[in-house]
Amino acid sequence: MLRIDQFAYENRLRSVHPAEKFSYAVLTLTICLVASRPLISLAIILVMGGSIVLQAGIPPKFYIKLMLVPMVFLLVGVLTVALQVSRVSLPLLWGLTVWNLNAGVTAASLGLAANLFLKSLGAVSCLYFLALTTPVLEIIWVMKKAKVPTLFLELMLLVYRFIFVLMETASKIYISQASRHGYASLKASYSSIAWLAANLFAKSYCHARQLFAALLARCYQEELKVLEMPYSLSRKNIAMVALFELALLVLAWRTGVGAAA
Amino acid sequence: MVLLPEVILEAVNVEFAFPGGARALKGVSLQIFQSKKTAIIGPNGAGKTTLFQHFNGILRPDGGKIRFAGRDISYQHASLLNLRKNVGLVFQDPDTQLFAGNVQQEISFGPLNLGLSKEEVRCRVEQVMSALEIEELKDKPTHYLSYGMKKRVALAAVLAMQPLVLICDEPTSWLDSRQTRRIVDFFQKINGQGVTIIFSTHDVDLAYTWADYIYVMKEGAVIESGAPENIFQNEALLKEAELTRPWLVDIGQILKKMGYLPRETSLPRTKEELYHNLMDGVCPR
Ligand SMILES: Nc1ncnc2c1ncn2[C@@H]1O[C@H](COP(=O)(O)OP(=O)(O)OP(=O)(O)O)[C@@H](O)[C@H]1O
Ligand SMILES: [Mg+2]
Repeated sequence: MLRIDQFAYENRLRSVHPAEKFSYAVLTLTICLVASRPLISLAIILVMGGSIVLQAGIPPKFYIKLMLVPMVFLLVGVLTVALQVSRVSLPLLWGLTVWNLNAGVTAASLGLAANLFLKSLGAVSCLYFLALTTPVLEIIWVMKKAKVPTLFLELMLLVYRFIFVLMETASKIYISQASRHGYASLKASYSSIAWLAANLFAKSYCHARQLFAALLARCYQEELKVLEMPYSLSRKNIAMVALFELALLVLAWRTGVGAAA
Repeated sequence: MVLLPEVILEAVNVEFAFPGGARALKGVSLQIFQSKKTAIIGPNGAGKTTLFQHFNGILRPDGGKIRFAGRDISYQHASLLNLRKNVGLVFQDPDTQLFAGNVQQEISFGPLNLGLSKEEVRCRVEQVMSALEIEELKDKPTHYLSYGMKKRVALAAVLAMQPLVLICDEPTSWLDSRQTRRIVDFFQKINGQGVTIIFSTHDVDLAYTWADYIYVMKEGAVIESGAPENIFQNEALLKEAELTRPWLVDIGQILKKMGYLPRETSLPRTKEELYHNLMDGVCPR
């Protein structure tokens, strides 16, 4: 989480207009979900991976690790889809029969599972692209331009800021406990953790109140106004995004939109 | 005839208790003179921060009142805005003050609330960033800054509003000596332009060298006030308020005793003054 945020501020696509990155990620994500074709998902995984590693310069090792995170959940989910259990006999590719129960994988269930798997990874890679190349603030900025309600966006901003405050507070408390052998034994660990949680809540509440006071001190009036960053759109980038999305659409159309799934 | 400087901010018998019950201020009265540098010193929990939050209307006294520029402050929305525009408060802990994503945006928040044009705001932001040497941080998110950097950004964010009175709660805590020097020089500069400065500090050397006037607080009350040389030579007071003596006072007193400085001169206020007095063959100024 922290590393992702750091990369968002220090990657080679940092200076690209956030709206370009945002539309690239979101359009591709939409196509990936709507088209639902293994071939398209595969293409998206590869192209997004390329954008992240080659264009944004994110270390491939780190990116692979990130992709492994959803993989665990996905494999569990996909296995349950692939595995079929039935009383009637199925065209099993592989399986076994216990009593009069058939269990195993069929060609159809395998295809469905593979499609689901690739589609999910494709969608995740689009979101990773956005998270790794665009700071949260700029995503919020794009959403503001897209007329998402201000209240919602300000909440997003404060939540984002508070995640860091919370983590910092938690790590301070943790260090102070650990340096006094608060985690030396299992029993001590339980009580230390309980203290940490209780304290964290109290401290965060205090912090929120003080932040509000500090905002008031600077003449806050119902809207968090800050200077907007100057970005310029690049025709070349827009054209490339458009071309890529078009290519995906053509590919989807040629292989029959949403036919499977 | 002595012309008294004008009082710009004043606390009259201010009483305040936190909802929890702690009585943080027990009848505080003090006056802040225009275009002067006033230090508020005293041990932890003396009520310095609580008093500061009264000065720009964040907290409202349970008893007594706060006066600004000769008038009782009113807690109406419009007059509070006006007060906060003129009285800038830099919080003790920068983390409670910073909310925006990057440094530039953080600094722009206050001036934008004053209703200034975007160009004007941009100009002010650039100005304070260069004055405080934080230009290279301008696109950095505030949560990746060190504590000392955050401290400077929090200060810049208030300075960009160009207040008449600048209140700083421990401006130099956690800063390295170079940054402390820079901030003090910078305060000196804006003070020269007429900005009134109020600061709290645990750094007795800073208070001694730099303040024009000092209030000593303890347990929610002002126990003494006066010029720095009087405050820091009052042994009983120093003991009561748990303050140490500034090194210049120590050295000055020893040199006087040994005859290197004449007994009737005032103690040196700065290192330079000390050297000068010694080199000049001890002539009083
Ligand atoms: N939010 C709060 N709720 C309850 N009590 C508080 C709160 N803030 C401060 N106090 C209490 O009010 C008293 C004065 O606190 P204050 O923060 O004004 O002291 P201070 O002089 O600024 O101290 P320091 O040098 O540590 O900053 C203390 O006894 C403190 O415990
Ligand atoms: Mg304080």
